[in-house]
Amino acid sequence: MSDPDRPRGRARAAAVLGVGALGLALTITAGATLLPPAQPRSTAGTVSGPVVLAEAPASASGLAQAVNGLQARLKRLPRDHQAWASLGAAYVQQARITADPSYYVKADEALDRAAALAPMDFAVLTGQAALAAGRHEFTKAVRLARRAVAANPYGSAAYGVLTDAHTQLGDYPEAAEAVERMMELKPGVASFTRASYDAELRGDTTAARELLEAALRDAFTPEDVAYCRYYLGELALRAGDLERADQMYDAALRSTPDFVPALAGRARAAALGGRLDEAATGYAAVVARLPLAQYIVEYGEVLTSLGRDPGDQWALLRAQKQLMAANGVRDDLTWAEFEADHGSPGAAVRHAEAEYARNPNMVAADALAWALHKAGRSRDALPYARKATARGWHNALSIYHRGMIEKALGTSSSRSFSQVKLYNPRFSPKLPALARFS
Amino acid sequence: MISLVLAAVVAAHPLGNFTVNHYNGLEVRPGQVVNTAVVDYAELPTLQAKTTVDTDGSGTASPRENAAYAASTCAALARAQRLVVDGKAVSWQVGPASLEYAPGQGGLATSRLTCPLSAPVATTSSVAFSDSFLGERIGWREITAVSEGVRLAPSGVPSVSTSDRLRKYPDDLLASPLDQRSVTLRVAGTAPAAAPAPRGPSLSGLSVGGPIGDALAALDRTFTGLIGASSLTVPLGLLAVLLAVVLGAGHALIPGHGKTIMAAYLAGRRGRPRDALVVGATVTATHTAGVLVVGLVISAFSSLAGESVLSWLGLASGLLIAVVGVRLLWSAARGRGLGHGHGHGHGHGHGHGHGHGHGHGHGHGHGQEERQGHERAGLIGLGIAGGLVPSPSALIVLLGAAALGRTWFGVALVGAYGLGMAATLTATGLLLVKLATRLDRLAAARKGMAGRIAGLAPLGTATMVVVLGAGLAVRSLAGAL
Amino acid sequence: MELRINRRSLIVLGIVGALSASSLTLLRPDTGGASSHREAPLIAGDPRNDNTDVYAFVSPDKPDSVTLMANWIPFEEPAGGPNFYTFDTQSRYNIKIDSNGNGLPDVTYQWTFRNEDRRGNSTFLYNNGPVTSLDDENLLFRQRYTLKKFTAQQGWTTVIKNGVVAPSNVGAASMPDYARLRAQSIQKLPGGGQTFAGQADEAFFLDLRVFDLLYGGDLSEVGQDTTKGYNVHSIAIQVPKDEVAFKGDAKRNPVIGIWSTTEKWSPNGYRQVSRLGNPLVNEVVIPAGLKDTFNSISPDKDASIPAVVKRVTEPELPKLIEGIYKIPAPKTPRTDLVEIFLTGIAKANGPIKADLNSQILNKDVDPKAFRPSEMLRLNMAIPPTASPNRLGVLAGDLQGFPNGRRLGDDVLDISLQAVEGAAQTGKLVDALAAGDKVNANDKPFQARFPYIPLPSAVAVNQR
Repeated sequence: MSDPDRPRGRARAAAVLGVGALGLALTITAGATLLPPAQPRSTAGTVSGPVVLAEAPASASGLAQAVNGLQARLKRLPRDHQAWASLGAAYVQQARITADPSYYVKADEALDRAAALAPMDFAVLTGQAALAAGRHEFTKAVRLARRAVAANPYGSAAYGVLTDAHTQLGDYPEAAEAVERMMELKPGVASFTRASYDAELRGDTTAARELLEAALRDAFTPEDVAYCRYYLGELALRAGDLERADQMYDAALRSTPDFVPALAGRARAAALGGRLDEAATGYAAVVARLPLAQYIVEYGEVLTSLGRDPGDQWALLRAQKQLMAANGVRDDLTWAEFEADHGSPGAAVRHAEAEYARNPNMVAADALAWALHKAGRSRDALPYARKATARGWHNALSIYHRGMIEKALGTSSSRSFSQVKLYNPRFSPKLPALARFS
Repeated sequence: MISLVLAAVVAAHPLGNFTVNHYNGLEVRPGQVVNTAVVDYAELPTLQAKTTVDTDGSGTASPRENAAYAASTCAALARAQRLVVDGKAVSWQVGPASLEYAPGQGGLATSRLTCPLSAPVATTSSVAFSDSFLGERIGWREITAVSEGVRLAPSGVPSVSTSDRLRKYPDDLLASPLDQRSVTLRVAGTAPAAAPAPRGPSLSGLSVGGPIGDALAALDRTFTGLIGASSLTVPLGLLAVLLAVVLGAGHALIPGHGKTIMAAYLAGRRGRPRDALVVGATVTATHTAGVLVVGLVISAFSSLAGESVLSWLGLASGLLIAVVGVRLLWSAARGRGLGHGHGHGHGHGHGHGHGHGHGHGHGHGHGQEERQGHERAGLIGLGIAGGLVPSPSALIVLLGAAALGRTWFGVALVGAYGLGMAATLTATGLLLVKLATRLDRLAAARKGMAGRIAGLAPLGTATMVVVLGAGLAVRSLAGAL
Repeated sequence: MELRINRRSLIVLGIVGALSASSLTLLRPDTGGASSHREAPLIAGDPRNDNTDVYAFVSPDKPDSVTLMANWIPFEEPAGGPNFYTFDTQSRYNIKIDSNGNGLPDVTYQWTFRNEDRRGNSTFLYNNGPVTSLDDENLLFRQRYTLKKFTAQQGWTTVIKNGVVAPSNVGAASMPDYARLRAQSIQKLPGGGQTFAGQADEAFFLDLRVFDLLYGGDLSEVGQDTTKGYNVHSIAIQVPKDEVAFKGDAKRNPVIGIWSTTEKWSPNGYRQVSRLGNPLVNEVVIPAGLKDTFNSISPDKDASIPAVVKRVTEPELPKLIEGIYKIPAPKTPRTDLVEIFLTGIAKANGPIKADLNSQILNKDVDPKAFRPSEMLRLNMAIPPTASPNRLGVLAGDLQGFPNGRRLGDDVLDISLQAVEGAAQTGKLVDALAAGDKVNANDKPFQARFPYIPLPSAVAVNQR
């Protein structure tokens, strides 16, 4: 109790302890620094509610806004089947604009909800038809669209799906009939662009251009404006007018600066104009943004023309094929065309036959003809080449293919080759993918 | 077969094979802005990057190539992000970047890039952030924002990632993929936050509900608010110091802080009033030192999360208690088994590591003296354990004061806070000592059962201290990892 | 024992079945747009051709004339630049009048528009400095219009050749005195009257969420003006009553039916894409599946489509309200609603004991040629009141909806009351007296033609 040493000892102890605590704290802090920071465990904190937008009808604003409005409405009214159907159709449209296939899954689910509430409703059937067409299930799309038409004979959108699906199935007269009816019911960008394609497939490029110009006058959203300008560019490009094509692509980019098809169009025009380096740079940017098979093949062909190795692009393409196989998707057309031009003709024939069996349209006929020719079966190819060119479509690539087949068979090919020159004086057989109509 | 198919399907990237998805986790702290940027590349973009990663063209990406790619991509990401603090553009400093691969669909891989970014800048009014990295590619874009030591006005972005930082994308039909590319965070006043980032259980202990808890919480807010008062006058400063004492006292009342352990210790060792004072003083000293050190360290190291430091300190505290408990147990067992007076010369072996010197060679009373020395070391250990984990509000006060250039004021407040804590703990200790003495007398008066129990007390309490210490350590460990 | 094995194997079978079913659904293709096929837009936004509202009333400041007005382009966001909302230059905008009740127009006013664009490719701006008058040099973009009139006797005549559309209101900095621009845009008509075309405030006030009822919602969330703050494009005309009355005699034949249509250009001629008479017609009269049909046909065909009539005689709304509010739905068939929406109110037409606004009341009309049709009907003989009631006819104010429609008529509350039978019983349903809880427009109406408030220049979400 009276130990004189004790206070001193205690002070010393406290000092040593203080230093010890400091050191310990430092050591532990250092340890914590080296380890990854812990995840926040609590969700308490700012709870931000969803941003509720004014509910505007789909017609008044862009697609994204329409989707927002529909989502807000459906959170309030989950039993509004028309809203579910509109949301499904809007997701299909978004998949088309963004090339993001995950929207198809969402569209499917939304349309399932709509169908559970009202299976025979025309809006539900139209949405389901549009989704089927988006997924390349054209026979199913026709079936659903017909039911939608029966439910609402004045609904223009169902005729739009009918037009698309018939075109892909090679039923051109039915497609023309459907688009005519669509234009009756609702003149505007949706029907004019389809009528333009119909005219183009008949070889009436003047009507095709005029209808696209009418569609452009009618287009309201920037995306639709860009779409019309882009296809005006494509029409010019396929006719060899690269300058006008460039102007149109630029115009498309003015209305929608990140419109990838127009960026690809510019690269295409550069390549066909002989500016291959510029084209390669352009395609590199396009593929970095949106690695669609079509862009990858075009890029690969430009690289080949430049004497560079397209191996990376072909690897990317094969990866796409693996992914699609894993997703249960068949894309025989792309592979038929690719294998015929750059790979194995035997594989090309298999793909082309599969594609033609499903969708016997002119593009598939051309792919099959070219694959058979490349596989040394030019005689078998000729009927398909004729079919691909019979309706007068100004498709220089198909006619070039026909000419090559005729030449191989020793029959007269001069008419075909002169048509190629006539339709597209800038056609380059070295860049076949760039001449493909899409 | 079916499970194989399921596995293959489940592995598909939920947002599509084309996507590049972005997450930015912003955190505003008093002296810096931190961003944990994560980029999730689906199968195709991962493949597209492959030739860039594989610089030697070997066909595979070596760890070194991955690291180099991660570093250069994070640098590019940092350049593509715009950070404007209080109206001035600030550039990010890139921490250690990492790139990980995960198996994806079709035999391909997906990849995940993590870039820890920080900018050593104090925020007084606003943080504007925008991310244009790979802005043209489709994908999910998410931003979260939290703050520590700074109070933010509602910004419209959540504090918690809805995608678990791009690991799990919500599957909601009525939600479009997030497309949050920019955010402006505004500091709400200059006051530090009363409720900063969420933290682990080891830190706050149990929260106190009811009117007392509410009153304490209100007091807490007032206190942390005082730091930011636009003009600091002498009366206001004194009021703040007083409040800090009250708050510290109140804080120590909340369960935790080794009060149970202290109680067990004092009860088991038949402590004296002086012992209670020792514990109180040690707690104050350790707490004040701890807050200062942790505060210093947190503001010096950018990538450090405060909560993780606190968890580790909690672990240390638990371990320390356990050590004290083991010592107690040991001496209790020895005391019972060997009786008194045999302790000569054994003192050396115990005290090391704690560095307390005790008088040697003092002849008589040696054993008792030594026991007292042990006891004090144990008490101080408990005090340290009780004060080692800084109180969050004290830490906020210090960091807030430092951010406002009032560091010394902050230190004073922290000191006052510790004083308050010490007062409560000492008072509790004194109460316990009194209680223990009564019990002791009771036991001495009635031999038999009660007496035997009292005799067993040291062993029981020692075991309890070990168990509690170990429990605390385990809980903190769970929080730290 | 055997039973147990069986049960277990059944469970296993069930699990396997469920798994394979789920794996099949998971295996459904979820990509499809991979190969190139041309995909044109399917649902194109077309607000410029979207009719929103029709108004018709005896002019309060000129009781010898009638004012007809129709609006287009719903939900115009005032801060819509740099590409501001315009009339479609490819379309024809019509206001049609049927004065003999046969469902066919006897008088048609038709506006067509053209652009005067001096912006070139150098700027997207609407103006490059303050615009103080309609012919201001700084106004880089304006629309002009031609107004034609059709009557059976005279055919088509051009009334106005070069009218100017009141521009979009781009804010006080650009247009310091917008009221002056509005005043300058009003054109006098030869033979009396005036016309206006241009941007205006969305004068319709309602909470659209009332119709959540139709989709399983209730009336719990109302009271917010859905259209507040938005603008529209408005076309108005004020003419002497005799000009639109049957046989040019508004004394003997005071009732007219009014509707507006939009016709779009197509390579095969103009096509009607939108039509509007009574307000809320899609909610109350036309089933969703017939909306496209209704928009395409002329009123004389309405009665030939049984579904339209059935929707009016067997309305859905009262049944839903009964389900929620226990207000008994009036007995069907609802001939009173047929009067309000399809024939006009006259003792000869149905149970409502009043002669108000059916063309059949016109003295020179052949009753045999009368056809029920959906249009807004106005008896021009009823003089304007100094103190209009928002509930119109139902509150005893015969100058208001459903006798024509004034800007201040609360057509939503009136329609709700009407479907609950208030027109037939003559008593308002108290339980629904609050209606959508939006009782007036946010901006006051003007005292003179075109009455509709000036357009807002403030973004909706900044209000």
